[in-house]
Amino acid sequence: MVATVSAYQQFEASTLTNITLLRTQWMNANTTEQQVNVTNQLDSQLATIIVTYENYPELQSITAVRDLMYELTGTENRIATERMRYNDNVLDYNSHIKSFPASMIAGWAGFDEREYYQSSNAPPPP
Amino acid sequence: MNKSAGRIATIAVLVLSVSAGFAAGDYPTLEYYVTDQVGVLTYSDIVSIEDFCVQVYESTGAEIAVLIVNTTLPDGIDLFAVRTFELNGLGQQGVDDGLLILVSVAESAWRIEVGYGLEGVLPDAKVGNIATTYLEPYVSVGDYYSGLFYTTETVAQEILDNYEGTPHESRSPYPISWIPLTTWQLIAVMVVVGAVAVLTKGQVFLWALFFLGRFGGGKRWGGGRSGGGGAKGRW
Repeated sequence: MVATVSAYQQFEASTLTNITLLRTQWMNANTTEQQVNVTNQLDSQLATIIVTYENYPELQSITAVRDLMYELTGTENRIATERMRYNDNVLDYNSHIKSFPASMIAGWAGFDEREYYQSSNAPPPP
Repeated sequence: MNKSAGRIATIAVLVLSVSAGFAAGDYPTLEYYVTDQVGVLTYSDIVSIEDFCVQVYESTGAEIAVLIVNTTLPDGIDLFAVRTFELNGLGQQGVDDGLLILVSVAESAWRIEVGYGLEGVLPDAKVGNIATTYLEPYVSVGDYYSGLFYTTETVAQEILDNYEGTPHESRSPYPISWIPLTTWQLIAVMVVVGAVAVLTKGQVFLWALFFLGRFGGGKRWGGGRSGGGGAKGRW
């Protein structure tokens, strides 16, 4: 049990360091594409922690660790929810600028088609 | 088939399809506080659980809904919960104080989706521990009633103890709760409908049947949203 917790703590410490680094990168990102890239890496790190936790059943009896996992799973789900909403809005926007009469002036006024927020941890956008 | 028979058939199909309990995208319409699509709860079970939801709504305005489905596939329980929450609009608009307790029987999975406005009162870890303590031990042996009763009771108590909100009136100020008309307005509408019924030789009632199927009964939810907060698990 002690060995398990120790091994897990070492893994978690390195992963949390990566997450802190990614958070700084996200705050310094200048474009939506950069933010999406960093968020995908962040999402991937969270998923790795959760999967690793599931491989250590002994840890699930420790309240503090279990609570942390609920918070991390919730964070992962919040990212997925906002990604879904962003893609819903991109779908609406792209459909709108392609439909008449908006299509007549959209390109001229600089309203270009926007990219979907793709992630390997999520189903493909609509 | 003559023209009027075809019209009746079309209206019947519309009424049946609308009242079947599914919103766009096959997400359930929550008719009242407890929606059991599988049939694991009895009527008295549902009433017992709904008592907590009514109490919370009347004291704080927060809206708790319980939903039991057979499966959440192909979406999966996370997306299914957030879409169902959003389509029904649990919680008051702008306050987002809704909460959805979702159980998927075939997947042996649960999710408690918490609206933005209740995330401070019910953080993810607290929600997860409530479900681990009060839901999983019961539903894992097929006792859905006890699991949902104790879980709803516990989250309801957390909201009553820690969330101020605004008291709401469950009783409708209108003589027919789901028609927002006063008594005199209702009488005027009935007179007009009666006159139109005479003029159309009764066909207006078919249209009335359609609109009753669309808007009748159930609870009007507040229009709140969720940001994916809460917890999930399996048994």
